[in-house]
Amino acid sequence: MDRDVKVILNGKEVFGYRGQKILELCAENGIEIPTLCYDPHLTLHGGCSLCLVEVKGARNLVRACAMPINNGMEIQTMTDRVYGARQLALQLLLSDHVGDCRPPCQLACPARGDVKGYVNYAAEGEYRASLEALHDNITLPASIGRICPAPCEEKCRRNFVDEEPVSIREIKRFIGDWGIASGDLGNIPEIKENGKKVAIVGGGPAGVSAAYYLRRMGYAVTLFDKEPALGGMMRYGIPDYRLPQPILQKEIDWILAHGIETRLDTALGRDVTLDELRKSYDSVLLAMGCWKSMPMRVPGEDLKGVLGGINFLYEVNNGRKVDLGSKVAVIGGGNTAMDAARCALRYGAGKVYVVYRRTREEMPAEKMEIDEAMEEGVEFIFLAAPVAVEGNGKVERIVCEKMELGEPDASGRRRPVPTGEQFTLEVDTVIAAIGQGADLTPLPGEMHDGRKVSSDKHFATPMEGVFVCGDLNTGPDIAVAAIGEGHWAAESINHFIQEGVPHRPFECDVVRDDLGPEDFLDEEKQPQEHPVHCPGDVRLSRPFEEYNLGLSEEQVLRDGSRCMKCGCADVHECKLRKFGTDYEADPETFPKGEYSRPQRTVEANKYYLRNMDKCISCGVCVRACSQQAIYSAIDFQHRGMKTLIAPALDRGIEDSTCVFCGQCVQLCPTGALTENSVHGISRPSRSRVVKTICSYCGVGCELNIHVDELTGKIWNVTTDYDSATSMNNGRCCVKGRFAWSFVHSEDRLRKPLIKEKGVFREASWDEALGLVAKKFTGFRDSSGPDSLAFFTSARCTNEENYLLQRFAREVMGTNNVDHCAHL
Amino acid sequence: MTNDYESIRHADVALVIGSNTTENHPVIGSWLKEQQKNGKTSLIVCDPRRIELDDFADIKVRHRSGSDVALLNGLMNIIISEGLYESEFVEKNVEKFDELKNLVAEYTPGKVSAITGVPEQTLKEAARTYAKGPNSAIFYTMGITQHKYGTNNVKTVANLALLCGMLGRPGTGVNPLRGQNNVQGACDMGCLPALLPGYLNIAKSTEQAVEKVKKLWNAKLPTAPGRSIVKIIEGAASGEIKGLFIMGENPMVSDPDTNHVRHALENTEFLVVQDIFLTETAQLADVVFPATCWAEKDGTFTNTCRAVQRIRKAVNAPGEARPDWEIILDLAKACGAKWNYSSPADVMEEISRFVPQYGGVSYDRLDQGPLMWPCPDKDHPGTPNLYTTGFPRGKATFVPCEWNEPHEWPDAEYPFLATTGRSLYHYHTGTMTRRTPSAEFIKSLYIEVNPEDAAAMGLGEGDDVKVTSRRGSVVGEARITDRVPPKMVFVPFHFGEQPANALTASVWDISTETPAYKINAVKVEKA
Ligand SMILES: Cc1cc2nc3c(=O)[nH]c(=O)nc-3n(C[C@H](O)[C@H](O)[C@H](O)COP(=O)(O)OP(=O)(O)OC[C@H]3O[C@@H](n4cnc5c(N)ncnc54)[C@H](O)[C@@H]3O)c2cc1C
Ligand code: SF4
Ligand code: SF4
Ligand code: SF4
Ligand code: SF4
Ligand code: FES
Repeated sequence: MDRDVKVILNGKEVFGYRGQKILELCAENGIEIPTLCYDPHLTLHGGCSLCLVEVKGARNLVRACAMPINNGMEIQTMTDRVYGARQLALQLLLSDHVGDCRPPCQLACPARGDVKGYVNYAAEGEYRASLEALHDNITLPASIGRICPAPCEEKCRRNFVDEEPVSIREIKRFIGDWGIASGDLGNIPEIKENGKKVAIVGGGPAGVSAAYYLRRMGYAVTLFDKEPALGGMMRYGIPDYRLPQPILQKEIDWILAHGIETRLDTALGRDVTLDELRKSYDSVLLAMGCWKSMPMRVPGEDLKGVLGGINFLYEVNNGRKVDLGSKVAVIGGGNTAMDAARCALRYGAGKVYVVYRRTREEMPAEKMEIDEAMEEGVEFIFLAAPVAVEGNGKVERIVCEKMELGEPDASGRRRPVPTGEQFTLEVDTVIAAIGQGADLTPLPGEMHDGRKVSSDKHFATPMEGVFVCGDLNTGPDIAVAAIGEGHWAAESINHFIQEGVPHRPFECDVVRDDLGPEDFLDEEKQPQEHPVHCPGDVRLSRPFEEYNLGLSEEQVLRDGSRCMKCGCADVHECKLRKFGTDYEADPETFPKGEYSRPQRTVEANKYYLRNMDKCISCGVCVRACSQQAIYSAIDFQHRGMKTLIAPALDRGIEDSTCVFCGQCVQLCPTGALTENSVHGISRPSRSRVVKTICSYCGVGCELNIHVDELTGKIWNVTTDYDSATSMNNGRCCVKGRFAWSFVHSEDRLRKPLIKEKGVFREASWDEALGLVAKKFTGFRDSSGPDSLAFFTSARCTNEENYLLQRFAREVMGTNNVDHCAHL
Repeated sequence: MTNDYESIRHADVALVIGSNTTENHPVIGSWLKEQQKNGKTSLIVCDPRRIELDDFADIKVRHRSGSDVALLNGLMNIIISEGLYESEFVEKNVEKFDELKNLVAEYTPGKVSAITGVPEQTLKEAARTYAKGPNSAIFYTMGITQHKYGTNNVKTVANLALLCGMLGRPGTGVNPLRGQNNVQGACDMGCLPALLPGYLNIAKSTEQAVEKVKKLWNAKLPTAPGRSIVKIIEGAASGEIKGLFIMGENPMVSDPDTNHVRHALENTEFLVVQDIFLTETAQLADVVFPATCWAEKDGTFTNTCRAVQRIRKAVNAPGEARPDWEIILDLAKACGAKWNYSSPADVMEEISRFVPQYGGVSYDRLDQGPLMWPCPDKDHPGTPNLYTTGFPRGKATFVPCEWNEPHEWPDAEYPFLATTGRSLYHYHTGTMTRRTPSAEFIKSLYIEVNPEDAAAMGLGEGDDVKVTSRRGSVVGEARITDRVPPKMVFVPFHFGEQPANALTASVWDISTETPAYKINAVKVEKA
């Protein structure tokens, strides 16, 4: 065809041929246009409107997949108008879409840990893979697995079945510990330096995580911390009996081993200034946490014997003595208060009170922490607030006022209202654990409002190139939130350095929050596994030793297998979600709930899953079936708004003419058609493709084997329609496509076997080969070569067949060699 | 296949005989259907069963099982008597036309119609359509070969193609579709008692064979004739075969007359089995070598259109399992051989020197794509279509064959005909597919029964049905379908616990020793 049609494509003159579609011309010129309903191997459909581009002179945007080029056409493929139109098209599609891309546990995790991934790897015994999947989003898993309040578990849908979640945290801990015990937390990849430098101030979970993810991207990272050890509040706040320091230290050391420079005992404001850092680094990330104890604002607060909660814990975690006397009042109801109270017991206080303004129900501390504090003998005084600390030069008593609960406040908790009634506690020490704030003194005034650092959603501060994350950005939160902050801030810094503007990654998520126990009635109940409980007195007898020993391996395998793999199986492949992410489409833009197609169905067969809730009516599957499979097993049924793709006559797919070749599944751009992973193999976030030939029939289809990079196992098989080396042009059958899981079957032979007295025993290769060699040469020499015979195999390779006949003829001296050619 | 896949796109007519293509070679089936659907190829489907391809057929020839030779001779009778054959081509390229002519003269439409049960009109249409072409291709599979007179069937197919000059051009050809992935390769590699790699006949070209083996292996070639599978099993049963090595096969399920095979293997003094699972056969072994499966090794397969293709290691093998080539290499070394290969590529290098057809094959070239043999040297592009410039020995020869009654025919006691074969969803003896989702889709043996027969027996869909031959019986779930004609049942052979081969006879095609799986007289009853 003559390339005589001249087109101005994004301002550049290019030539195409007559009748060529804009989309094809773009593809030839390396310009990618998003498409959903288009497939180069099928006829045109033109329904998704994702491929819209701007053509000069045309009033409306045009579909690149359908519009042929003509001479002099001027095309713009990425204007604001085009972006907006594509985003709108995606939002419309997403509004008519029921499902959840990522499972609720993952969305509840502030660091977006791939819960489904690492839990299922653990359940499959793939601990190394599980650890790697963890590290993709969650640094310090052994530590987090000990202290995380586990918001993921709260949202786990297993609660709908058993009223108990999957033990996500304990599984995480098990995997982290497994890594530490194996002495290898993971392969440290060779890092491709990108020549850019980032300074991070503050080596708590936020700073350490940011350092890790920036380093993986190739940045030279320097971590500054005022303390002699890293870990932040995980090191200096959380006591050892909950998180032993060596565990945290080993995890941090592994991260540092990626080539991260540290400058310890170096405080911003004291030893180094922000200006200096800005001059020497391409970007600066502030992650200094919240290290200021909030004052109680009551008279007597400055008496000797009044301590801040974190200050007390800081001393404890430095192994220093603190004289508390015999009676201690801890003010506050959060985790810091619980840690302070329990440490006070361990520091010899005979009586420890916790004074809290509201009731037990409102306490922000973890339920487990409260239970354990009670069990250890801490006395809780609810509905009470300090009014004054009194004493002569040092604390002697604290005066409190009784409270009652009034209207809910902004946090939704009922507000404590003073009653006027007072009481007094005789104490030697008061520990104020009512909150922490940021120490803003090292920062210039333009960066904060006195309480908080100013920042936008991309972690950028008003000062160019300076970012903020973790508790310093959010106020006191939990460690895994700090990890997430560190990760996304690292991404934003990367975007800033590479593209000039900060940008927090966007992920498009369709969410389902309308499910309840009634949706899981067919699920078999299976109770959660719990660690062995250690009673309070035993705990106190070994005050700073860890007492929760976690789950056993058997428990992890059992509990992990309770996971129902919620979320969409197609999440890593779905084009709708990919484009939704690229175009930052918010699925909630248009109201949901009124689904235009009433007949939603989820139908599974042994090979694939049909979930019409996720169908976008692009018709790719219908065309794939009739034009590639040549079956026409499915078609659009019920025209108009009620359109549904189904086999004729409303039959089920198993009763239709479908032969499960999987062409439709492969080409479906969304999760409406996905491989049914009945064989329990997890879907990986990272995978590689190996081209090979099917081992079944004589057609010899070329197949793409998809290997999970983390486990090294096959998780899927597809074909390549555009492969230059394929004889099957992308076609295949049910066997090539779906019948591969035998590869990882438990029944595979793993060791040579020798039969003795009618039973097999395992043997070494040397022994087995030696035995066969001895027997065969023996027969050859005593009964003659023709007492031996060889069956080769039509299923083995040419090389193997060649060698076996050579062996028979040359080494054994017989032509008794044949194979089942006739089958 | 004489022709490649691309050639299918150029066929004006495709004659499919004894091949349930969409079930056994699904991708080829899809091309045939696509061609027919798009009006590019006329389909002639000859099969006793109403196979799926029959739904697409322009001409449906439902000939009786075992009547293939009569049918094909009948078509040639019409073609010759109506003067539709390529006389010029035949004169130039084929010998013994008169013999053929004389023989098929007996096969008048009336007689053939009586033998095959196909109306004369249909026979004429099929003959005329095939002969007219202009490009007509023939496809066949086990339905043709797995008969007592399978070789005759194959020769007769070739006679038809030669008669009409349907060879050597895209869109023509005689195209046997191979059942297993590497049957072609195993034959190419000389895994046959009488032939060295590259089809060098030991008995006929002894001198050349001895010379080659001396040169390439520095060894002395045994020239005593070898035993075929059938004879090996016989020898094992009689005690003449003392040591038997089985690589990747499961004859306990795949071979006819299961009970006989069991006896033979049990009787073998020392049985070695190399496999990926402890198959029915491996369980009888004295030593079992754990091998890697296809996804765990590098190598080549040669497909049904002679394309040598590269398979690549994707994943690691479990435990200590090792690739078959490595095991054989170490065994050879343990027996004192001085072999020296460090990879499958090394072996291919030697193959390219041993097998003339593979002379130009190397892993480097295969990475660019498949090579269709003959590919004699490294600059040769491969040969998609055979016989484009004539025949290797100058002229081809007609080998006319008479039709013989099958070895066993339904009678009063065994009034049904059972034919064995494959299901789309399973493969061979099921060791692989029965450990995949297919195992749940089709769990156990099913048996296809015609609705008429089912009604007569009071048999319902899914009821257990028992099929008994003179050799044994199997029980499976009834699938009532008019895909099988009345008085015929179809029994797939993938299920070791109900082996279809309990029914089959150790009756073999006389020259290839292919078992006659396709025809078994049986009785059928509700179980
Ligand atoms: C007592 C206590 C118990 C807790 N228990 C839990 C729990 O059980 N589970 C949970 O998930 N979370 C818990 N948390 C919260 C959790 O520890 C924090 O949310 C998390 O550590 C915040 O991480 P970050 O990196 O933002 O800040 P931090 O961990 O506070 O780290 C800040 C780092 O910055 C350094 N730094 C500060 N100022 C400077 C400066 N000027 N120059 C240089 N370096 C500086 C500090 O030394 C520190 O290393 C607890 C917090 C406390 C205080
Ligand atoms: S089909 Fe795509 S958009 Fe829909 S739930 Fe699945 S991943 Fe999300
Ligand atoms: S069952 Fe599994 S995937 Fe579902 S919410 Fe719980 S942990 Fe997540
Ligand atoms: S699996 Fe194949 S036959 Fe079945 S609907 Fe999909 S494309 Fe059609
Ligand atoms: S995918 Fe199916 S048609 Fe292709 S080679 Fe494998 S078994 Fe044959
Ligand atoms: S409308 Fe063009 S790709 Fe869907």
